[in-house]
Amino acid sequence: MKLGVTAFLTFAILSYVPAYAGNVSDIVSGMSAADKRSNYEGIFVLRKSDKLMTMHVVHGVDERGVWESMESLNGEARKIVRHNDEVISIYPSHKLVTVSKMGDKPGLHPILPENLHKLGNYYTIHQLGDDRIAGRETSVLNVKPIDAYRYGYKYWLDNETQVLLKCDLLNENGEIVEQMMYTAFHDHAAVPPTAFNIPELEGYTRQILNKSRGKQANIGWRSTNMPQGFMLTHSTIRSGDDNKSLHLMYSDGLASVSVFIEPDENSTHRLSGASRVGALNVYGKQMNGAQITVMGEVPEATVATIAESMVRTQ
Amino acid sequence: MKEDKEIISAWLDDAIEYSEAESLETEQGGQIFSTAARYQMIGDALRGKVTDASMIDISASVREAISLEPESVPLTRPARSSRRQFHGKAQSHGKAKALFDFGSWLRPVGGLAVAATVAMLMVVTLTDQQTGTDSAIVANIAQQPVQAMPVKNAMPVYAKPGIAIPAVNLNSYVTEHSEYAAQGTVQGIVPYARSVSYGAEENPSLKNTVKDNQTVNNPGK
Repeated sequence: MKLGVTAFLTFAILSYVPAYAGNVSDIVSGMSAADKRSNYEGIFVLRKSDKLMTMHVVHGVDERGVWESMESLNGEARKIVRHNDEVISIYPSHKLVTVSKMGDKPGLHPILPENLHKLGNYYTIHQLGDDRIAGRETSVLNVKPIDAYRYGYKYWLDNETQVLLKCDLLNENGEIVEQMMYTAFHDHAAVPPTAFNIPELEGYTRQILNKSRGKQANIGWRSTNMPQGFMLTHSTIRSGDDNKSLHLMYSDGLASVSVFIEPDENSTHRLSGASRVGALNVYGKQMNGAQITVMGEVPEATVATIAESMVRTQ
Repeated sequence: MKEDKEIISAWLDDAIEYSEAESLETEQGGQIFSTAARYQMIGDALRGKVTDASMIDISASVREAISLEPESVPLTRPARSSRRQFHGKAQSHGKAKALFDFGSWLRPVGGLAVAATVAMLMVVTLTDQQTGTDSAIVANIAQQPVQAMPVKNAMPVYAKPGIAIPAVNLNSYVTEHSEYAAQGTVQGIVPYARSVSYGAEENPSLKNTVKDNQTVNNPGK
């Protein structure tokens, strides 16, 4: 009897998977910090529905901030070079280069890692064990949403650098809807100075996509039924295509949802009802002469709820 | 003529076999394949799958083609080149006809992509002062009759099972969403990778570019 109780307790202790109740901030903070302190190079694959892309990435940090170069290795040639919040995209087959800058102004709400403490309100995180990715030892974390308004995540974090080496995005049924995984990864003491040079772009068309963060003030629209935890982080007016449209970005710290509102007249984005592109759910509706389009890597219920709850405030 | 276009529509969407389209053309003495090729070229031009030089010549042809088409002609949007296989699912012409409206899809997109009168995507900061003006533009929209296209019903026939591809073009939204989503998340390169994965050939905001011959400075070291 005594032996039986001991065996049971031993089994119970070994099979118990601890929740990172008090360490969510540490874990996520480590992931976030890895972006700002690591120098590495690697090749990863990104799977979105039936599409598989391979990319070469170089990431580095110096006194001027964070640099990142990402180049597609299959399909149409594309390359982006990111320096902090400035992104330069190069499309060789189109002889086109675009430059976008998000702006220096702070967001409407603190974003990660400042609001880490709130993540635990909407997700639980458990360690699933260890695994090996790209020849490196990793810790596997399972991030489960507490409600049906967000997707789940599985993170494989490099034990040495805390860099995310694999990421699964899981829908409400636990099915993988998007996957990223490194197949080769090398961390460096310092990234070679030429790693982020841009090739000669003579004859390229240059397009500047200026973007600035805005204040949350009199944006004219709001959601009356925003799922808990999603906060407005950016609001911008975008102009072009003969129309001006409003772009509102909401985030719970992991998931992001965009709301685009534009005059329905001459809209080229006229959409009614739900649709999906890979892991991205989209929901559109028309209201009072406006086309409302909501999209995000979240369940359909989330984009539909937000779209249906948008009301004018002025 | 209308019947010919229904056949073209079905063939471009793999709804009928090549042999079936060929026999129908023979029976009717029409020009199904040459017309289909013209529509394919229009589609390629609209998707930016032509060089800048050839675009100049093609744009006139596209405009002419658009202006010559009756407004109510029911026709699918041109199929992707890679999808233009001669083996398709057996579907009725009637279904292909009901799924698409060439006039409502091609005209606004063509007007933007080919004419390229507005090129720049510019986002301005919402200041207190600007908000009063700009948000009023969005908020005070005149009441317009809505003729929405139910997207699920408009799903192209080449869509994979369970994956709905919007018939409307949302790629500029998707790209912008991905870029903004990359800010302030802990998921490292994933949001940026999503952004890269949306190609220029699918992005209407990139197709409407005005060439300014500026030299791009090297931001590297």
